Amino acid sequence: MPTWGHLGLQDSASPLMEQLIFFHDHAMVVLILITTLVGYMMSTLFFNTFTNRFLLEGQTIEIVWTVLPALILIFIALPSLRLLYLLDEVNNPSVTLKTIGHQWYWSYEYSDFLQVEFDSYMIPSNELPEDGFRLLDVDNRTVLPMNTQIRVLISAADVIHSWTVPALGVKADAIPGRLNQVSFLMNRPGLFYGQCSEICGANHSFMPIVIESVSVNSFLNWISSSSEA
Amino acid sequence: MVIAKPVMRGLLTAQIKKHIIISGILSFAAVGVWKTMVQNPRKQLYADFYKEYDAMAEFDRIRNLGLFQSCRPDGEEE
Repeated sequence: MPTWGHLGLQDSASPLMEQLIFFHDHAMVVLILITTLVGYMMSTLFFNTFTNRFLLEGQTIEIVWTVLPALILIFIALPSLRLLYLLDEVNNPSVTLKTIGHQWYWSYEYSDFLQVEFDSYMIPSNELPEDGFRLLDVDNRTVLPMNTQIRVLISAADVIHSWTVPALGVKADAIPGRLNQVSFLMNRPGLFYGQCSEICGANHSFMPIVIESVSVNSFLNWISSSSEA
Repeated sequence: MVIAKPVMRGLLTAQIKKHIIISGILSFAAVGVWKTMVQNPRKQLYADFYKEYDAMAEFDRIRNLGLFQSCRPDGEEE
């Protein structure tokens, strides 16, 4: 989760998010190159005292500053497309989670083997324990197994919401009447936080998501005890 | 005394060429700094972290700190 003074992307908890972080670093190479080039050029303008009164055209430079940007764009596009197709690869999820956005909470359904359903509300600040995270903690966390391919089907009951977990590189709109699917694998245990990412009314900022990544055995124990309850 | 004739023309072009070279060097230097100080260390950090990562041990450590809702620490009754 982000902490005070956090500037960049959150540490990844999923191989795909790791690749997204590396791609972001790659894209930054190009951005730094162009920004430094243009920034220096602009700063030299402050000190320039020469003019060329007869300048009309320059065919060579026109070709240079057309071809060079095209090459730079190819340099960005190739890794980008590789990652784009990697994100859409077909895999065989072991667990399917359905999540439905409401005003203003998320509800979750696990219906693979046993029917488990619950709502997940943000814990209000006045009920938060000393070690709780303000505006991020929820009453019922979404428990999922680590090192397991997971499919999440996302929809909404009223207005458009968006289910996001930055550490897993997952974001998809929850649209009423539509099912959106995302897929991920968590390669480490822990708690991963997210917040609704589509304006949905007064409490849009107060319907967070908390994923609890646990061992497969713990997940199975939890889901069987939840279905009995 | 004969002095060399000063350069009278092409001053702007010469300046532009000089600045293009300097800006190219500066840009690639900035990219080099980014790669050596951010991009490559980050890749190495991730590689080192996961090289001998024991997810189950980490799970037990977090669980025994009482941070999970779904499973309690060792010794604690459910």
